Amino acid sequence: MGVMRLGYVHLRVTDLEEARDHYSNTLGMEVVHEEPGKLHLKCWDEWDHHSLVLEEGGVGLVKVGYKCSSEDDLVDYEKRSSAFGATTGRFSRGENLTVGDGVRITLPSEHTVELYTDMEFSGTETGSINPEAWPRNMRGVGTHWIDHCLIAAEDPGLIERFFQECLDFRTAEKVVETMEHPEVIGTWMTAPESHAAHDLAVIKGPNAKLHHFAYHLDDWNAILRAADIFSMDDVPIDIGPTRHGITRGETVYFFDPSGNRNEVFAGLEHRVQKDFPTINWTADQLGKGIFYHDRELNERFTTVFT
Amino acid sequence: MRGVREQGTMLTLPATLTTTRRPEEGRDHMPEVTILPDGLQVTAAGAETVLKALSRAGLKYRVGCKRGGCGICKVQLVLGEVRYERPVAESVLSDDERVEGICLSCRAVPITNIAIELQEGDRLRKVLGFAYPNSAQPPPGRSASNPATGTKERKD
Repeated sequence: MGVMRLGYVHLRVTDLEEARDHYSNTLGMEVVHEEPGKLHLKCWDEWDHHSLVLEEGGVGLVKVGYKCSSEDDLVDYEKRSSAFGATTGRFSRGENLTVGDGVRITLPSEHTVELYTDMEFSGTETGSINPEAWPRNMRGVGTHWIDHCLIAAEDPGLIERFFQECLDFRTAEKVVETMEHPEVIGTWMTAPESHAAHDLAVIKGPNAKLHHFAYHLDDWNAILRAADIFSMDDVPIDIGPTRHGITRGETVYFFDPSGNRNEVFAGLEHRVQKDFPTINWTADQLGKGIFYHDRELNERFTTVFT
Repeated sequence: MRGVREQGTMLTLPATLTTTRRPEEGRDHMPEVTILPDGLQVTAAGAETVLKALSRAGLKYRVGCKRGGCGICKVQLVLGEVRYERPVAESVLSDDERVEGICLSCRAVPITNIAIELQEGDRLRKVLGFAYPNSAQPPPGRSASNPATGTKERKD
């Protein structure tokens, strides 16, 4: 029981039509609902109604939603979060389109996280009976699903502790100052019911900010093809195609038309199981941990947030 | 009065440079962008942003998302006027910053000849070494132009 996955990202964009073109035509998501100033989208390989909400006005994160197994989880998580000192509250069915009742938490890092158990089920493009490998009407990159997000926090160690103690996340990998002085610089965490290498990451940076959110792709070839499409569509690439040392994933970082950072992510990530140890990276190897081939950070990695 | 003006805001500045061209809206209008303190000049074609004009000329400086979201590419608009053809979030470029002449270079489109100053600690890098092969700065008092890159040295 517990948190299963990152279910939705709610994002601010400066121009909704430019954002529609990027997320729908370049990345291949489907617009499943629209209203003035807002779009709801999903990837072809996602089961629930939507995974991305775009809201016109500003840039950056409005909130993220993590889907949980049961109502009992919500009660338990709310209690523990409140005891930790986080601000908690309830939201009602319908407050988020097609989403049921849930718990809203304001993290010590000022990010809003929503926990819910129910969103309208709409099915994938290929369905659940004898599915084809992929839909023939796939557009652009053809992203499979939203995979994880990376947020910034002035005290990433505190946020790591919150997710460990209140929501049962496990730390798959982390960056510490040194092994002797293990102050947390960044942490990559897996939800208790997840099979992903990470569902959330936190790095040291300004509170309330988004570093990026990521889409899952098949493999290295799909990463290369995605980068080709970004060049065709004049999408600024931050870095890649390359590999992360941390998670071992293959990646391209790029920016949406409002400057929000996106990632496409694939590959043979480190397995995360309850009985496996946390993989540690030390600050002196941070460059290699983030960009395994360049072995040094670009300036943007630690300065560009929305 | 000399000054910088952006979206209706006018500021008085020391008389260090003059603009010789008035705002023009035509497609063939090609404002010059002077980057201080180097004094390099590039030409912005049509509705090109400051960033695009410098990039096309093979010049690099500190930039982030290139799409108006992060504010990393802010520069000081020392002289001239720019406009923003796409919405810019208040959280990225505040009204106070606009009044102070801060300019979001990836979104700002020059509408007159302008002069900009890079942020403290930033410097101009030349990707196209052949534009100025022998010096970090253009030689003083010498006028030359490179039609291939769009850059030219400042005419004193």
